[in-house]
Formats: sequence, structure tokens, C-alpha cells
Amino acid sequence: MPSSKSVLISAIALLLAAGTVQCLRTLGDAPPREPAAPAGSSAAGESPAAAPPLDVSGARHVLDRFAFGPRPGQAEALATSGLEPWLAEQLAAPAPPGAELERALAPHRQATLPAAELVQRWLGPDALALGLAREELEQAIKPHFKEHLAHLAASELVRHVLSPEQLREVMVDFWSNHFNVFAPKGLVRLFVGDYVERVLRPLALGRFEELLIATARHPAMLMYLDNASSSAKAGVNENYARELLELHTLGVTGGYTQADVVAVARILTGWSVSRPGQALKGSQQPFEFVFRPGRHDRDAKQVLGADFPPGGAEEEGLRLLRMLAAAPATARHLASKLCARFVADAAPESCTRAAQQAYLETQGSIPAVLSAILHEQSFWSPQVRSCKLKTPLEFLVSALRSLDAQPDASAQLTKALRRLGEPLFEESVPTGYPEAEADWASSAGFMNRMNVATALARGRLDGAYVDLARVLPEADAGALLAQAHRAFLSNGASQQTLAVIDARLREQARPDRRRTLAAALFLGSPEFQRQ
Amino acid sequence: MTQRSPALLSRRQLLLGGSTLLLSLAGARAAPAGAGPLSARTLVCLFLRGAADGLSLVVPYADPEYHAARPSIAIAPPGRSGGALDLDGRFGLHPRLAPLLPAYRAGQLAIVHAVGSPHPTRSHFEAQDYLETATPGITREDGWLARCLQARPAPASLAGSLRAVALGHEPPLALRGHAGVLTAPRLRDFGLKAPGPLRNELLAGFEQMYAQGGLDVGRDALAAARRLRALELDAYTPEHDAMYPGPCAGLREVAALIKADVGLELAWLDVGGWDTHQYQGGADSGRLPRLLDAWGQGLAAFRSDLGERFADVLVLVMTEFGRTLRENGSRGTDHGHGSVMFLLGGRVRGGKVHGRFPGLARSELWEERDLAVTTDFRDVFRAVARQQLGVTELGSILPGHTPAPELVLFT
Repeated sequence: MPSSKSVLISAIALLLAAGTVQCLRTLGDAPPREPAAPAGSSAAGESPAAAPPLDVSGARHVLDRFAFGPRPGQAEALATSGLEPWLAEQLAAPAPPGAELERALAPHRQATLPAAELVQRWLGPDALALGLAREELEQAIKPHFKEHLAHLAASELVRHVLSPEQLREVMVDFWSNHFNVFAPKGLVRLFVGDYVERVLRPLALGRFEELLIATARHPAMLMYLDNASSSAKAGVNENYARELLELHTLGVTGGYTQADVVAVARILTGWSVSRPGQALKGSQQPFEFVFRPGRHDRDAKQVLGADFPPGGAEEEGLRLLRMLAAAPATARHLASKLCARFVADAAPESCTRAAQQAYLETQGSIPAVLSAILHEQSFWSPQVRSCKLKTPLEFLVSALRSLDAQPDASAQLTKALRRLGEPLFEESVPTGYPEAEADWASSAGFMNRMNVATALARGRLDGAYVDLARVLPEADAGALLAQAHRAFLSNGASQQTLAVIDARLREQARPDRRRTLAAALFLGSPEFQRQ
Repeated sequence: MTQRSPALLSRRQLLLGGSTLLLSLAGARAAPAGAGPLSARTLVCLFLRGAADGLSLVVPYADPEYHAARPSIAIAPPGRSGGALDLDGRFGLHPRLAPLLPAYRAGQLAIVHAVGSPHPTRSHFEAQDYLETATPGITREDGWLARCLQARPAPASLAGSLRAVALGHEPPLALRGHAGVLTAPRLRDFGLKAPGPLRNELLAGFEQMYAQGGLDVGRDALAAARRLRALELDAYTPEHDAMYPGPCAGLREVAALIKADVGLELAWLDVGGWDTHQYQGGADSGRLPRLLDAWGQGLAAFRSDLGERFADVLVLVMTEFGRTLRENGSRGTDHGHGSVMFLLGGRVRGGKVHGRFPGLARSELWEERDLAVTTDFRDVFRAVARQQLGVTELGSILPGHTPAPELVLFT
């Protein structure tokens, strides 16, 4: 929490700053105010009363947070069409990809195949029948993994850049970190594509409980946090149980104890992954969720005061997950995290309360929570405009979108993200990649942002095709400045930034080089690092 | 934290305001005091993230409970195949840390056992945060090393300063709250990449844009890049036949910076992979031996590379907590409590395992499962701040900490 002194300092600074709007991280400390929505309106966002009529700058604010930034013309289009139709479209059920997206995804389709198909493709059609030991299998798939992961990350980037379902994409990024898995760990390598394609993306805008259960039962998570090998007989592994409570549901201040962690771990003993070569029952396929009764702890347990009587089996784990999804602490934890993502690093209390209320009223409907945040007054406060530092992923994707760049068939685009410090599915710790400014404001991060901006502007960033003359057709220095300002920042640059770029453009005589300078300087500017 | 002048405003507070007035005040930071012998000293922190198993790094082989609790992953006693390397009749170094044995015997490696936090959390991120802020149980936004830097004489300008370097993508919490920290995974290729004329046009543009404030980190990055370019780290050759394994390339760069006399006071390296819930391994194969192999060699290379310069250097190796005494069902260990710290340097009271080892009998274990903590990590930090960084006013560095007098880690 900022001290009262820092609050005072920032207040004074704001006065002195004379018009330059900076993010107030003290927003979270502001005394709670009554929501602007009329009494009786649902916090789930039935009433758009808190949202003012959209101008282009407001539309950009929406697209910077609830999308990965605008493609050319999109902020203007949203300002014309209005917020509610856009939101309804974004929250609709998943649609099949259009032609542009389909074409760009085609080279990466293998990356999201189910594990059994990957193994057969890599090791031959009979590979599943060979009965390879875990270690042998791990060694055998390793040589294929690097390329596989590059394509998987490329496939994610393609969707983030080109998908019209932008809010779904933003939430896939959010859930990928909330329910983080580390792809280069053991057999997790086989499962991440399936996890993203068949769990995170389709369920990103569903009910939280469904998503929680689907992650808990997915081999990627079972192996990443070791529950697959947890056993009442051979030894209970607490890894997943602890992160389930601390990170996925209640939050670290959610009021659980070490005894609860142990009880949760015992309830989930036996939740494992079927493997080829082991006797499989009925329709059971290899590499799927399997409940192993022999490993399950059948004694009585108690979690957060709730009794789990002796003799329970697989179903007690489901009961536990439903109980956790319904807990007010979970609602609060998710609400606060989502407000930090969508509004300000220090989640405003009014936002957290509105989001939590929406969650509890709708039994965890993610669209209801997102709608509540979008309609909450703090989202529309001038203080939060451009107050968040883009994560490396947000920077790269928004830059590509603003340039109308087309990802190519290679998987090279992921190299840029690696240089920026956020290679997808390679964060080893269960917290996933962080969200706050303090986590990303690093020297290397900024140097590389300027390098990526430069490479993009030169048309030299591996993995994407950029036609700069199409986005910035103006040749005259003054007209080019205005055009680039609108295209990259919706006219939101400071006077000083504009003056610097203006001077550089006027000094450069060649129109093609001038375009390069304009794009590189705007994309590398302090303003473009924020959203 | 005392706030006696605007120079002590944290970067976060500067970002809060973002006004040119505040920035210009910060720019007018007091001129440095004259450099004394302290100015030549460097602290290198190695954070083993994920909770390293102290009972494998420094094996209490004489304790009968140790072997009983770990049927498949215990390290054998000294003298046996794959056995621990005896230190003092009670403890043995993990065999993969053999390259560090000469330093121990030369009195340049001090070990603290059963060290850790008074806070009971077994959450990685909570425990890491508490270790980095040095305020167990209290959330803070500035790190203990940032506070140490604030308390030391500052260079004339923080722009382009190489006084503190964190080799990674993200600034560690331990160094947050201080503006002069360069964060980069590799220093040798840090800079703006573009062909000559364009590079100059862009550099000028970026430098002018970031000079306006709001994102000082961009301004500082550009200034550091200019300075690093002049150092030509690409051409650095380690001395005394030092060979750094791949994962330890960061140590090599730190050695190069120390020898270049750029005023490096503090270097930070993060090492991941210690969360060995599964297939931890004993002496030979497994996750832990692989990690120890690289870092044992890397630290030994760092020591020999620096030669006489090592006298002014301290490497502090730490981790957020230890791991369970008993091995789990996946031949690994779960989150525990007490662990170890290493102090490798020219001025430590080495050749000794410090701290009171409480033993592994059930009655002595923390919550009947983990090595108990008998030395508060802040006692080690206190000694490091005082002896290596020359910071004597420790009240604001380690608020709320009452020192234990018996720990003497430096000569």
C-alpha cells in the first residue's frame, strides 16, 4: 500500500503536471463511492449507465483493455457503433475462425493436436502400443518439442492478432497465467496445445466452475503440479492442492490452513493420467484423465470446516472444486485480479466489489463479471486511461494489430516475444506471468521494445509481414506525423513526443525512410508502452 | 523507511507523480561522498527460486533420521560411492558441489544451516517476497537491497549507472524501489539494433522522448546501453582457466563488470528449477544433481576467474525455504521450512557450518515434518549489509528485527 506521504506527493505531482494525465496507483485507496448506475440495476452489467457515450479515445480505451488494441480503423468504428453491440458480440459463443484467421492458423494446426495423436505423429503409428516407460517416452518426444512449442506459441499469437473474438483472446491470456502450466516439464510437453485449445479457449467466457474443473482434470495440470503421481499409499503430493487454494481459487489470504492443504491433497489422490502400456478399462484412452481408486485416500477429511466422509472416491474431488468455486473468497480473489488486469494495477475497491457481486449473483459467470467491470465507473475514470504498462505480449500483439501485420507461416514471431521476456507457456512458476508495471518495467524489456518497434518498422521482424506504405500512405512529413499519430496512438501522444518525432521526420528526406522512422518512434514511444 | 530528501523517493513514487518537477529534483541527487575502500566491494546475490533442498545441499549425514526419511534420494555418508563430501564430521557437501570444496577449505565459503524465515508460509511467492523485502509477514513494495543502495553514497547520475545489475527479464523485488538498477538477461547484446544512420536517428529520437519522464526505465536503459557498448563485453576472456558452464554465463558477465571497474556494487542472478516435488534425485541423476553440477562449477569458476579481485567480492546464495524431511510419493520433496545459505567471498569466516542445527528427530522438526529454523535469515542479511555493503544504519533496512549476537560470519 502506498504511504499517505506518497499519496500526498502524487496529488501534488498531479497538480504540477498540468494536464499530463498519469496513472494514479492510489485509486485503490480512494474511499468507496456509490456506483453511478441507478439503484436497483444489476451489478452484472445489465445497465450501461456508468459508461459514457463513446468517443474515439474512449473506444480506444475499451480496445486497449478488452482487446489487444485496435487494428486500423477499429477505434473509430467502435465509437460509431457504440459499446453494447460490441460487447454482446464479444461475449457470444465461440465462432468458427474466418478465412483470414483460418489461413494464418493452418501452418500451426499440429500444435494443438491431442497428446495421443502427437505421439503417433512423432514416434510412429505404433508408438502407443510399445509400452514405453515414462522416462523413455520423455526422452523420445524431447527432440520434437522445441519446434512444437514454437508453433504452439505462434498459433496463440496468430489468434491474438487476427481473431475478431478479442475479448476471448484476452481472457485466454489471462487464464493461461491464472492456470499456468510450464510446457518444458516432463510429459507436460505433450498436453499444453490440447489444454489451450480444448480447455482454456472454449471455456474462457463460460462459468468459472467449469473452467476450474476442466483444468483440474487436464493432464497438463495434473502433471505440471504433480497430482498425477500423488498417492495415499506411496506419498501424498501437496503441490497442486496448495496452488489450487492459493492461486486458482481462494487466494493467499483466503483463510485456509496447512491442514486444509493436506486435506485437499488427500481428496485429490487418485486423480491421474492414463498412460499407454498400462491396462486401460473400457473406453479409456491413453493420456486422459483417470481416477485410480488404489491411490485414493478413503479416510474422512475436512476442508474449511466441510466434512468429506470416509469411503469417498472421485466424486469428492468434484464436490471440493464446486465448493471452492462457490466460495466468496474465490469470488473476491478473481474479482480483484480481473480488475487489476482490466482497470488498474491496484484494483479499485469499487471495481472489485462490483465484480465480486456479479460473480456471486451469477454463480461465477465470467461474462457477467467482465460486463460488470466494463460498466463500473472506475473503468471510465480519466485517471485509469493509459495507466497500465503493456505486458510484452500486449505490446507485441498491439503493435502487430496497429500495423495490420500478417503473421507468416513460420513460427518465428515467438522469438520476438522471447526477447521481450514473455515466451508463452515457459513460465515455470505456478503464478504465471505477472501483470503489474513493477514486474515489467525493466531495462532489458524497454530496450527490446525499442528493438522490436524498429524491426517491425523496417519490415524485418521475423514471422510477420508488414506493408508500411499501406498503413501510412502519406509522404509529406506533416501529414505523415498526423496519420501515424492517429494510427498508433489515437492522437494520444504528449506534445513533447510529437515534437521529437516531428523534428526527426522533417530531417529525413526520403519518404520510405520517413515512414520507417515514424512507425519505429511511435511504436517505441513511452505512450505506446501504456494502455 | 526514512525519507530525508527527495533523492529517497522510490521509483514507484516518481512514477506516481510523473511530473517534471519531481524528476528534476531526483536528477539533482546529492553528489557522491568520496570513494572509500567500500566502493570496491561487490555483493553478488544468487537466488535459488523454488525452494532448494538444504538437506541435500549440505547433508546432515550424521543424523540417523536423515537416511531413514529418504529411502531413494538420500545422499550417502562420506566415503561411500556417491557420498557426501565431509565438511566437519557432521555435515557433508553434496558430491556435485565438489568444485566448492577448495573454497571451503581455504576459508572462503561459509555455510549457514537451518536458516530461514520466522514466518511459517509455505507459499513460494509469499516466502520469496518476504525474503526480498526482509520483512517476514509484512508486504512491502521496496526490497531490502534497494534500501541498502539508498543508504550508500549514490553516483552522480543514475542514468546509465551500472551500480546494480539484475541479470534476468524482471527486476527482483529485492531491488525494487531504487531507480539505478539495470535489468537484462545478457549484457553483451544490450543495445539498439539498426543499421548505422537509422540507428543514430532512432537513438536520438528515443533518448529525447524518454527524457521527458514518466517511464524512467526507458531513459536509463538507453543510457546504460551507451555505456555497455563502450565496454565491449563481447571481447571478455576469463582468466586462470576459468570455465563457466552454460547456465552460469551471467556470472561470467558479472566478473567482466567487476574487472572493468564500472562501480558495480550489486549483482543479482535468479536461478530457477529447485522446486523438486518429483524425481529430485540423489547424488547422480535427477533434477537436483543437474542443477548443482552447473552451479558448483560456475561459482568455482567465478572465484578463480576473479583471482585477487575476489577478496572484495561476496556471493550470497539464498532460497525461500527448505523442503520436507521425508521424501514424497514422487521421489521428490514438498515445501518445507529451514534450509541453507552460502556465503562465498574473500572476507567471510569460512570453512565452517554456522548456526545451530536442531536435528531431525520428530520432536525437533517444525510441525513434525520440516527442518526447523534456528537462524533468522535477517541475521545473515544484517551481517552482509554491514560488512559487505558498509551500511551501518540498519533500522530502516531491517525494520522490526532484533539481531542475534552469536552469528559471526565475517573475519
